[in-house]
Amino acid sequence: MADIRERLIRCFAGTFPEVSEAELPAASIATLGIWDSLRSITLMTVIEQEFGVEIPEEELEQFVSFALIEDYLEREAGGGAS
Amino acid sequence: MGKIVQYTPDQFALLKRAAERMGPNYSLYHRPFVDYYYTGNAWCKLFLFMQEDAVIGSIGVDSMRFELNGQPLMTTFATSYYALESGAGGPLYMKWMRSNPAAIIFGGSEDTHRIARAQHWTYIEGVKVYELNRPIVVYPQDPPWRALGKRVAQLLPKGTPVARCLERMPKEAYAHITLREETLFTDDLLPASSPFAFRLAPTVDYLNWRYRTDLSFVRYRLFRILKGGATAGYVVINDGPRLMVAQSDADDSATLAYAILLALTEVCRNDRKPRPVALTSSHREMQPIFAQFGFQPSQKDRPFVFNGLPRMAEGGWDASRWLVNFDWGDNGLRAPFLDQKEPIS
Repeated sequence: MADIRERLIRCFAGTFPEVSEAELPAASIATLGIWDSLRSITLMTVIEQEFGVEIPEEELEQFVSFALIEDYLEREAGGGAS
Repeated sequence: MGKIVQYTPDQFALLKRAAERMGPNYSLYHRPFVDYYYTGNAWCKLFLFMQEDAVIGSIGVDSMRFELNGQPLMTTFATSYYALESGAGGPLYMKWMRSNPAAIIFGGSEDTHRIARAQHWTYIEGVKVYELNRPIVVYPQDPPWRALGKRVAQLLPKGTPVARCLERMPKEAYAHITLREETLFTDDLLPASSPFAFRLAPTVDYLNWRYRTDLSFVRYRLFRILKGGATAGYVVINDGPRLMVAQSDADDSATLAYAILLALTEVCRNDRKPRPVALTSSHREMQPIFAQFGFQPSQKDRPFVFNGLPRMAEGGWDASRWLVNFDWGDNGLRAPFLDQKEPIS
């Protein structure tokens, strides 16, 4: 799971280079003013490439905070998102 | 946490509250349009990004069948794409792409094009808007001297009646073409063969839904094209304060261009003032015919952008044999609507 967090931080750091790595785990669209639609799409595309997944339609709305995305990826790694 | 849901009419009050924040006269404010276009049909849906009891974003997805070099191409056309909260547009965009990665943007906001460029969509060159009797519009950003000049110009008689424009055309070029107004699309209106490398080629059911001739909020007029007495295609005119050539198709490009001009003339027959008219074209044989009639092409292309096209032809896409009509997606379905009594400020 530590590996997931590390890789997810890399995805976030590539999408939001102006934010320090220490701040990224707390990032969400509510707290990060620069998290606009374009960054959101970029982030989802980067995560799909990094983790080799296609985000299912029913999970798209999770992609609004680091914590929710991490939760999705952990469920995915643990045998598929429920 | 939010949730993306498909719009149903019982959610209209929530949607209306969001539409009030989207801007003046936003189309989603008008229930007859919303419920007709986005519910109860097989082609078009509206997705809402809900957070608690509020709509924070929307995207409509219109599934359209085109033909490219004679092969069917199912695409989706995004409409009403709006994010009221930062980031809400991302999951909605992905929802659109999941429905079908082959997708079109025709027009679109600057925000939409930022996304399209970043996602490496293909921009097609050469699609122009052709306008006749273009209205003089005073924009809020106009400097005072220009705004004043425009207001004065608005008071002066301007434009040419559409029927008079037909006098500029050689009669022998359209003498064999007649039109008959219809209320329903039927199979025989669809051309059996096409000179266009790319065109909208939907079913009769789609056409009867999308360009229905008895709607309250928009008025479509459907004309059968007869060439030497035989059906050669059809023209649909969006008959509003600004006329728009909404959709058209025929088995020959010159016949179609002249039929469009005849249809416009027919719709304007009883006009007292010259009405603004708009159409789009990228076709190299149709464009000079529109120009001779008096239409002026836009200097810039109207953005026509694809995602997920089949492999590009050598030398890129050539739109000069494409048939691109204006009123695709929701392009002709914008507020204020004909039956709209409650403009919002």
